[in-house]
Amino acid sequence: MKNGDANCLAQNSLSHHLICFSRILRGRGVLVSPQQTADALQSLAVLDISDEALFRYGLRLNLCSSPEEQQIFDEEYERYFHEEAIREDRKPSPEMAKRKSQKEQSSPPEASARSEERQPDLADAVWRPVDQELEAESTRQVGRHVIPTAPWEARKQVLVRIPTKRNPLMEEGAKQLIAEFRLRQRRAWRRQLRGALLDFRRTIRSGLQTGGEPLLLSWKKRKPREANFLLFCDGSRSMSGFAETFLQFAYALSARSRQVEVFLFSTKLRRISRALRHARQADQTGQTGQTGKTAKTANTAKTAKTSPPTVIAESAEWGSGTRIGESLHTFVRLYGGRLLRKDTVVLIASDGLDTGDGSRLEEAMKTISTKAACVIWLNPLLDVPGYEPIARGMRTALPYIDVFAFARDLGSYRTLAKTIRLWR
Amino acid sequence: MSGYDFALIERDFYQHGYVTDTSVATALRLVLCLGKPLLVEGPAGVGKTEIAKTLSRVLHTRLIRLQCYEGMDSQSALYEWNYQRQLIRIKLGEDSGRTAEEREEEIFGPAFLLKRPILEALTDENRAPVLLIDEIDRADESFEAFLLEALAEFQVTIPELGTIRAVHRPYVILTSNRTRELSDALRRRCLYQWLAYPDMQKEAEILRVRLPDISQRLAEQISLMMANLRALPLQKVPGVAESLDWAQALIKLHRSELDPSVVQATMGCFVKYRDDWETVEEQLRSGRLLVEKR
Repeated sequence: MKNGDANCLAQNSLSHHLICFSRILRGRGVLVSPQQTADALQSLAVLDISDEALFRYGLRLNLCSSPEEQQIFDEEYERYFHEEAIREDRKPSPEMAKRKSQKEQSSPPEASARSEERQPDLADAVWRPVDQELEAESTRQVGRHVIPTAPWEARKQVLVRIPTKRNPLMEEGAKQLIAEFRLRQRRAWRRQLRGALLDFRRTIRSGLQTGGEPLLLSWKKRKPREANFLLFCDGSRSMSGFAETFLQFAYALSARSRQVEVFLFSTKLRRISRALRHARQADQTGQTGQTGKTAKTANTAKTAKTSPPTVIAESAEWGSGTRIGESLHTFVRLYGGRLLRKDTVVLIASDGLDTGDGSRLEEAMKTISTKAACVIWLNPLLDVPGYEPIARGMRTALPYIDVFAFARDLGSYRTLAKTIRLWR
Repeated sequence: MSGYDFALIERDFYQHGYVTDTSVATALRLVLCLGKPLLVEGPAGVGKTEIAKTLSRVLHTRLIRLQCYEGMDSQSALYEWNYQRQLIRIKLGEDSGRTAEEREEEIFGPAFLLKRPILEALTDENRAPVLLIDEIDRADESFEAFLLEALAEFQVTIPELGTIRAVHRPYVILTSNRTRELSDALRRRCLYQWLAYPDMQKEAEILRVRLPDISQRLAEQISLMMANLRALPLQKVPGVAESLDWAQALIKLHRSELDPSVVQATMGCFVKYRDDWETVEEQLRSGRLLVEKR
């Protein structure tokens, strides 16, 4: 959809407002397809929209697809339909005009910014607040939908860049780690040469060739399946340098297995698995030059090619203090029941310098270790000569850890994968 | 669905023992009017599956349920040939002197087809059924992709028989516990409804509607205690299903009011872990569970 389209419609028509509103939602990272906008409009035709509750629910049912998105919807709905409706006559809506002009302004310096990004360096991947000068850049990447852009509101957000220099050691480490955990079987039956059960469908089919006599027998069997991985990345300031490497590993891991969940925490916890996956998709579409959904919604198909994948986090989740206990506790409360299972492998990357409540950490670690198959803790300080895990947080967590390892550089992930094996 | 007044859906659900709110009622109206599938997510035991059951009762149609599990394939969702019967028929027909084509046509006919839920829902002759696809998050992602195809076109192609189109488009309701994130493709095609734990008033209302014998006081006390319980750090947070179980147990025991000893004796109805048991017991001793906060 081109920028001009919305202006062709009558300025104050319902569909015009709906398109503007959808676009604002997209800017906040909600995936809204044109079809969904159309469906929303259709729904409003069916409902009695003089009742505002119905109007609101009708939109929300169509435009959102998770509780997190609903929360964003509620905020933006308030702002768009209540606060801004008072300021009548929104020619091209103010924030859109602003964005458009920024987009134009930002195009000339693009080239220089690109060349900088082309060599993603570990040192470059640091927390930078999304402020005025970064705003221009993030607006260019709307539609990679990991980046909420909200020029009208100063959110304290940081842009986390994941270094993507393809590192064969890292990729191999991820591959191997997945291979080393065989904790369950797939439930689906697959055709195998020597299987456990007769595959009737195929046997009968091939029997047709031999006059109904099933001479050629087909067999089926269940295949083993990779474990679920849960990764926790401590993004606090003291982890600078190490956290990026771990994120890169998480990125490589989630590319190889679908059962990977990644969480980022500093003083607050954030689930970034989806963001990582989307970044990966954007990365791939950019590389192959396909016109996927990313390329369509973003006017940035070209720029998506070379920029490193990024994840937006709040400053409480990246680059501030460490509250492992609180963060893991939040995890157990919100996700524990669903994500902690008997075939889950938990990887925590942290230096254990906890400033929060020690009992919280103990409680959370206890739950995690009883529910999951294996807990691996990666500590970057472990190779420092004379280091003893005596920091309060580390000491509390230690009894619940199965593998306490060190992993700083890219190669060490492969070494780690080689030393662990758990087959059931 | 001509002749059905969609605005009355909230009342009809109430009459069938299901307390909804405007948001859910709106979602159901859109399901009925637009024919889009509805995806319901929420914690366990808040009545996700019950929505579909009640809908089928309200509309007086059949409920066809597809319970998803890990490794489910199209054969258990769509159709399968009855192989044993085919084998017997092949054996019996060996000397009939018919050609191979005739025999093949016979054994791949409708009589040998086992309909599984999705095909069953598409071929209902009388009226549109309610198709409940329960716990879709348990199925694999490949199944999700397969489902997209079936739900988008409302038709199924069987190589031996040809394409079967829906006689009446079924009303589709999907539920998920969020053990796995569903794909964006599926989400985009569905209306989305998040079902949270009910607040105290609503829960008391649910208890009264489902269990007419319950006293007002008991219903209020149970819902108050449940609200307090849900604020505790439990491994298994009790849902509405548990409060209904518990209320039923209390009615059978002829209790019309809660006190710590009764709670202690019947705690097994809603506490399912040992650690939780200790936490709840401790809270009970401190007397904080039966009083309203603030």
